[in-house]
Amino acid sequence: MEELQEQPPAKNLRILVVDDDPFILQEIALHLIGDGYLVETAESAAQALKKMDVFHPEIVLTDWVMNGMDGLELCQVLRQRKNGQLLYIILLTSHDAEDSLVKAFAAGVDDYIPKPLTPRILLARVQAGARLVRLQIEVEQARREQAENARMAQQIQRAHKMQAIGKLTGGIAHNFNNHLAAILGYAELAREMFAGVGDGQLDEFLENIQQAGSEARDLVVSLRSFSSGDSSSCKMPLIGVMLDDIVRMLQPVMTASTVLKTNFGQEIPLVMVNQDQIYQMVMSLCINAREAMNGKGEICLHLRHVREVQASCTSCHEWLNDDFVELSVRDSGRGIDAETLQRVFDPFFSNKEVGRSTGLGLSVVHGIMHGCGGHILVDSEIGKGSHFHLLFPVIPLMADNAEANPAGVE
Amino acid sequence: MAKILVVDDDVQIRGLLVKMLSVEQHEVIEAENGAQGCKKYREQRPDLLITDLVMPEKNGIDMILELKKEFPSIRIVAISGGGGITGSFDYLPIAKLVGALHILQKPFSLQELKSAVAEALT
Repeated sequence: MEELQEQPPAKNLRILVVDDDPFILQEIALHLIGDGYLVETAESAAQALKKMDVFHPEIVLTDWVMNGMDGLELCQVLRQRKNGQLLYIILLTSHDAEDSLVKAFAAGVDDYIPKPLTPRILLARVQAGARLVRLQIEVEQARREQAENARMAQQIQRAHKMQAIGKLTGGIAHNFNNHLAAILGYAELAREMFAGVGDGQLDEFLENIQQAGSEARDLVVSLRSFSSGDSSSCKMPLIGVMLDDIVRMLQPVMTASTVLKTNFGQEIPLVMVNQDQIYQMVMSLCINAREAMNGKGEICLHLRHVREVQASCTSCHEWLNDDFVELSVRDSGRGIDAETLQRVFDPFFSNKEVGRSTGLGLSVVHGIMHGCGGHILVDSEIGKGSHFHLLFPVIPLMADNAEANPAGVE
Repeated sequence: MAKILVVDDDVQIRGLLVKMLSVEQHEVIEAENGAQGCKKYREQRPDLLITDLVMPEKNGIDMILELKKEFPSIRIVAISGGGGITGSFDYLPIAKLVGALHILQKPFSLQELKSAVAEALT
């Protein structure tokens, strides 16, 4: 709340004065300036409306009877335009009959000053309005701070959740591998030692066990790359060259009515990621895109060097302020709503029908990207499509090494 | 045929390794943690040590470090599920760094084990 006390005093509030009599206008302005307000004047309602957008006053002081649009009409327009935003309107009027005043308040006026004006009443009424305006500013600011704090707390909580899930999946993967080693190992041993027993049926059963075990092993590999990002296998390929290969490999997965467009920029800096990982991520994103478009639409792959990115990572929520190599996948599909977007990187989260997907695609993307020091941004709009940006950290001063070792071969 | 010490805290995996190696006509001795592994290695001086890495009572890395100091020419194959119990830390590359001739990721196939053993023994 300390910040609020540092707000400029109420007298620094901005007041727009509107009157078609230049002498009265001048006089009011001088009194208000003398009392410390920032003042702008307008000789008609039309001029006032123009100045609103430049001056942004908190208080408007307007005469009622004017040529052209009158004070009440101006008030109505302003109320409509500002729609709930802070604006205190004071009407100058000689119509002080009860009916007229009721009409003025109904039009949205906050207060009125009867004509003829006296400087003391003018300043007293404006001060009363300024008090209310200042209180409203404080309330608004407190509300904004509270919303900001809540948003930060939520981000921290989400970041912790992703970390916790990462640790958990790492631990699960370890134990699973132990169990799978026993299952697969004994099945293999049994097939080897008891080949031909029971008319080959035993062999068939054991083969089924091995098959299921292998599938479980693949699942664990995916889980592990979520939890560790497999940074140990980071390589430094020339990403553009390798993407051309990937696009060739992707073609068969695309349906006849899915168009795959690419735009790979030139002179892209090196990034730390290996071909399998890029392949896995692009594949996951393109398959998701295809599903989101029901197999019909356009997928754009775009590679470029982006500078001074300032945004918050959609999956880990860290605030970014850096240069990146960006690989983005955009689709024209159904889009993802904001609430779902908060969960898409969680392991086992899936929008697809149960059984059609492991729900590991995006969590693997999260793992790989963060494992190589990168981040992910997602823009999505319901009905318009989704745009996934994979941001790879740029490796500084590696250009010479890269030429000597073009494909990142060890 | 060689004398091989198998160290793993998981009784099923240990049993599996023993069985797989016995089928290959090797003589197998067992230990269930790093401390026991060190003791048995000193007593019986096997030709090869096959060890898990994440274990209670002295982990595999510590055991490798200790034995490597005493027996610089020790032959070791390290096996791990990859990733510690509590997180994503990967011990296999470290095992290689401290002197394991071969590393095997669980789950491994009979063939993978056979070739790792064969190469470590040559």
